[in-house]
Amino acid sequence: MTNNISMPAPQALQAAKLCKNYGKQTVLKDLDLTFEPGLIYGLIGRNGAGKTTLLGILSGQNFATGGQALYGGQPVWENSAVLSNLHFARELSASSELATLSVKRFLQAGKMFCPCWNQSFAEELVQKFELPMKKMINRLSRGQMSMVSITAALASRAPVTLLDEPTAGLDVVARERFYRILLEEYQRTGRTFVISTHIIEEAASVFEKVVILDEGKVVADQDTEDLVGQFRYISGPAALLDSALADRGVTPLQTQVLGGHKMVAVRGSEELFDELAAEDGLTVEGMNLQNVFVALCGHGDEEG
Amino acid sequence: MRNLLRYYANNFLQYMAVVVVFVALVILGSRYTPLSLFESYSYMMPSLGLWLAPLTMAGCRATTSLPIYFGVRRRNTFIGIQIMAVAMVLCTLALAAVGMACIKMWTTDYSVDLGPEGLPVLLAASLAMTELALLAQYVPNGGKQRTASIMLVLIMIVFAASITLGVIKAVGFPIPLFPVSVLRPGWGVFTAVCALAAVGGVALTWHYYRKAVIRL
Repeated sequence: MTNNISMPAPQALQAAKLCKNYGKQTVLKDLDLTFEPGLIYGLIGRNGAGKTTLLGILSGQNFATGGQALYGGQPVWENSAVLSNLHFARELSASSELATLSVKRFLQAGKMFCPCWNQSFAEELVQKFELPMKKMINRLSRGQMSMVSITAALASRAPVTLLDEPTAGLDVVARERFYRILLEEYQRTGRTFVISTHIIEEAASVFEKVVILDEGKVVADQDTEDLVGQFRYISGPAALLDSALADRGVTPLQTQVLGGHKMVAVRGSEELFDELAAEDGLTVEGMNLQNVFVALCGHGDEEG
Repeated sequence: MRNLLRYYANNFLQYMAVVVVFVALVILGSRYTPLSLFESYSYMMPSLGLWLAPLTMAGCRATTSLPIYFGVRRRNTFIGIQIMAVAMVLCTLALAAVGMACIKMWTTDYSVDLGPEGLPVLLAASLAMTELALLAQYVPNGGKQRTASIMLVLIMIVFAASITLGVIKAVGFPIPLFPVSVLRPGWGVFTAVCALAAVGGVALTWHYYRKAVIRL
């Protein structure tokens, strides 16, 4: 990775005992998390897990009920020096509030306020995404709205860029193009990217580290490969599988039963998986990030 | 802060362009056409600040949220909005005064008379309306707050309409109401109440704005 672009080096972005309540509903509970500088993070979680709220608080666009967000050890909230290093690109909505804003005006505001804004890069992205500059944002398709917020996020050259559902509404070609541009930009600048998405498998190869949120808590925060390496599907005759797991004190995370055959998702070490693979009648298969996510956040969903 | 002021100055200039065109149309329309529409608008001229600035502010949430979206402090953004709001009201009243003077010069039977003592009354009322329009946008979305917000908008409309009627001499309101002057006890109290409402509006808007979730 090379850093040949003029912008401040990214620093760690931290959530320290963050809490957020909306009325009686608790969205984040004493959440501790650190996004290390210069990495691409995937932030995944089910609907309502608190991803957007977390990113909003980390970027000063939402108010924490408790705890605080820190960037390089300094509070984010109302701190000009810190806020200029962060950009949070959230999904734009076609609400009437945007009726008065054209794509051009939106990007002009970015140029005006983002200290590291790269205008030629913004123009290049506008061309690549074929964005209609004069159109009002609420007249754009959902995919085009995503492209506008992606353009602003990438052109902002903010050392830490948070993207909430950046690929929402994009077709598969546009999604591929987005990830390719993102990786090129990452290579050029070494910026930190935190990407929240529901289309996990497509983005998995881009994430160096992954954070999984479930019901306002972090249930995983580690290298993507290491995390996926800790999970396996074990399948075989139900009785044999149950006794093999019971002997080793393993609790399955997710179970699927089909007649007398059973398949479970298990978290463990290589030794455990080798032992189970050595058992006659049991099959051990690897999982992908999406499977791991379902196993961790599915709360033991049993499927027959 | 310089960029922020430039940003709000752009918005302010766009608003002013609309006001200038409106005032010019009314002046020219009442001078050169026999249409009663322009005559009606010429009588509404004193209350221009009560309508145009609040209406513009009532639909500006995206404009006011955009700087925060791009990393500007809320406090600075809020100060910028307040400067813009006051400038909008002042300039609208100034243009209205110029417009009325022009119409008076050219039209013999134009009977609206708004002296310097009348301007503080309209200024206070216009500021109160503008602040309430801003407040209505930042009241949170809870059930009770939503009702309060709708009530606020209704009150604003009734309030602005009442003052508009109050300053239009043509509708034949009782003489004690005229001239509109801050030196008359009734209008003096009214001005003080409006000024207090404006200050209260600023404080309440900041209370909600400070913690508002930025959505675009």
